[in-house]
Amino acid sequence: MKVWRGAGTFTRLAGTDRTIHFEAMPPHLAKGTTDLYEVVLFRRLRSAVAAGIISSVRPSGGSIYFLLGTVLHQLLSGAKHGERDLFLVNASFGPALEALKLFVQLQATNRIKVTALCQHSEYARGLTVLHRSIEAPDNLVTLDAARLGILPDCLPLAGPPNSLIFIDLFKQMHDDVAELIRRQFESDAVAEPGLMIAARVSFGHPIPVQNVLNDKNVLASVEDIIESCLSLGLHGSYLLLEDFDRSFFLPFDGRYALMVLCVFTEPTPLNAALGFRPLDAPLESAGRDLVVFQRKETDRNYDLWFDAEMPEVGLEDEPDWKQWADDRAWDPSNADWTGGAARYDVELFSYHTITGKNDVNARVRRILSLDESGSHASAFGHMMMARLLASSDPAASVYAVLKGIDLVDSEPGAVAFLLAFLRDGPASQPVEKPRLTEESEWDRAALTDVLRALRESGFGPVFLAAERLAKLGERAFGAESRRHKIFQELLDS
Amino acid sequence: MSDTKSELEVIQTAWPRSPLSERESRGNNGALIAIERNNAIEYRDETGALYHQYQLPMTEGYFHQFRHYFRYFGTRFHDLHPNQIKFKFLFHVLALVRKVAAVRKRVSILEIGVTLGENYLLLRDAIRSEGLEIDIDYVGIDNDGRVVALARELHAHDRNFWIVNGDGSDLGRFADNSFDLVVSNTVHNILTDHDKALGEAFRVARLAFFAILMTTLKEEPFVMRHAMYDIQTKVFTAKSLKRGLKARRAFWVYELSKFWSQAYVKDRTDGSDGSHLDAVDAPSIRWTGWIFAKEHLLPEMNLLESRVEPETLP
Repeated sequence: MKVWRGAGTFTRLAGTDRTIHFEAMPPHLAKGTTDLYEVVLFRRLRSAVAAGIISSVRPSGGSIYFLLGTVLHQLLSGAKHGERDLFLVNASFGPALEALKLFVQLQATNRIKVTALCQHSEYARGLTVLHRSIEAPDNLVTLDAARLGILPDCLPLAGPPNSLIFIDLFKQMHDDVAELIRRQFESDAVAEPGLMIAARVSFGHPIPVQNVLNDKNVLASVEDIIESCLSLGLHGSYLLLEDFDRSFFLPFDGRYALMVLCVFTEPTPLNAALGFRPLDAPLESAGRDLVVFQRKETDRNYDLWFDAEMPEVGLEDEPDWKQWADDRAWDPSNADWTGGAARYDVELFSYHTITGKNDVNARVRRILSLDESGSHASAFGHMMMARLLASSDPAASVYAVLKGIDLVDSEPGAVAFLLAFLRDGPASQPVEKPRLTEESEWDRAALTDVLRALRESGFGPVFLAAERLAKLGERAFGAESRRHKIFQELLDS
Repeated sequence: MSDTKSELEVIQTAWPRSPLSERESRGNNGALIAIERNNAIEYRDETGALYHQYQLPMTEGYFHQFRHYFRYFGTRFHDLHPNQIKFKFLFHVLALVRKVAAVRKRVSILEIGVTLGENYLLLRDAIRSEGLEIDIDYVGIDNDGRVVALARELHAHDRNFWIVNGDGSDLGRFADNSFDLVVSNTVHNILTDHDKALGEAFRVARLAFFAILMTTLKEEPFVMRHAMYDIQTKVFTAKSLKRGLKARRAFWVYELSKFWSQAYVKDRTDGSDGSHLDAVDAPSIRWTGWIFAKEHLLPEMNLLESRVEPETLP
């Protein structure tokens, strides 16, 4: 079945005068925006819990991530060790993570550290923003890292013993679920791992399907998955939600369900009230305690997917702005603005110049930046910045010098040129290259010269303590670099 | 398919523009057409009949606003590229914060057009990585209630971040000199009452109002229509900015390093109505940074009246 996708304009469709413009986005972003909305809703629930307005929530069955968060919480709170690591594979914006946080908030549990692996950089970035940058200080669920990790190559995952790995195949599917399970359990990358998978499955035989985001996949057979688990000697249980979110696919023939599978190397009980069945139990549709909510075509209100009313927790309240400003009022005219950081170096900005700007009709403009090449990130550019910020921002100027030296890899000729520029401005005379033959000597010589040049130029070490300088060196060179160690030695001596 | 006009809304084409446009006019040979509307994905056949539909649990605003948002969302200040407008904006806000840090341990900032508070997160990261000892009280204002609701929920636990729903042209809820710094990044070009907006921002600032604006080398300001959001964008001239700010003490203008090509502008404006394209001269448009400083900061910021009129602007 051919499907056309893409932004564009349809005109004279099928002989009519109808015109359709439509927009499209990359499918993974379409999936992600739904997940983002779930994150927002769970966060609103968490705010309500924190404010004491609600003390428990019950699902009406519409949100799969509510169920998955429940299961994750059960598995993690029953851990043998005090803390347990969780790997979220195929994470998007983290609705399962946010749901987990809700249950952690409702019912205290052990501290949980999460590593997320994402198929796309947008997800990694969004996860970091949502779950690391914006977070409550008392959060017991810590997002340790969000990085790219593409199935199946990112498996087997290595981690501490007893780690739990959750592979989310709800929206971004994978055709061979059994292979993912084999990859993890046939290696000893994690001792006694737990694996949880949410996947769309068929009954009897695999079925090729096409989803509304135009991905073509194959629904794995639930029998094949269970047989693969049993052949590996695994213990576990599964839950089937028949016909859950079937409209995600273009119409197809066959029996379909969403499967939530939990497998371990040794027996691990799950709350049977959720409807989980052991692997060796007869295949039947589970989920008797969860009513699958049939999404109505006219139902556009996501909030109806939860039983609890979505309370207003005072997020709409604004402070008294007059009082707010009075609490922070002060008289700038009494302040002493003459400190070292008070001067605002306008010369720095004058370097952002554009040639040919008087010619309004010119199609091309050459941008002169801090250096002739147009790059702010060059060594020359850094030295320029160091000169300009010398009086107003010693820390930034020292950082710029060190970064410039790092960029030229301590090459003696380049270092000499840069330090001459630092002292005297753009050099009009060629600089003599020092006689150093061993590369191993370059770093020490360069950094010795740098420190001397900074002192003689009257900034940097004059204003900054050795600890601060060491930190700047660590940032410029990298904590593990040889250059940083040599710099530290020179500062200590 | 009785009421075709209401069911098949005309939606502005947006990113990316596809060469399919040429083929489409000749019909689609029995294939399905996937149409993403505000909260659903529809598959229609060549007659326009609905074949399949997937309802998305989202309201219109989120879908349009955030589908690309995290593509560009920055989390660490030092990951930004120096050529990005966002970097330059934050670089100068950081410089102003450094100034305040020399005399105080706390700074209050109002950002007009704050969206999800990305600049707040980046600024906080920059301050932390630099080791500046200063706390930020950050207030944002945005005119889209759905954006404001989302941002509030995302920052629900942050006691130093506030966001209000309102038009940046009218800051009447804030008294004079309420915030140490008022900042905005390419927002005042799209506000409803431009002249009033600049004056309001300057009024509520205690130290300075810093804005990045789109300006032109042309004699007169002009308006262009944004392709995606039906927004009128006014491109200022230096003169028009001076007229708009009644209570100015001093300002200084410098150019940022980005410019638009004509092709880019064409893609971003509605080509179906070519009348306003004549007003657009892309090479004349630049992003410029403006610092409107209050009197007590003027001498120490080394702002000289002679810098007010750079040679490049009329």
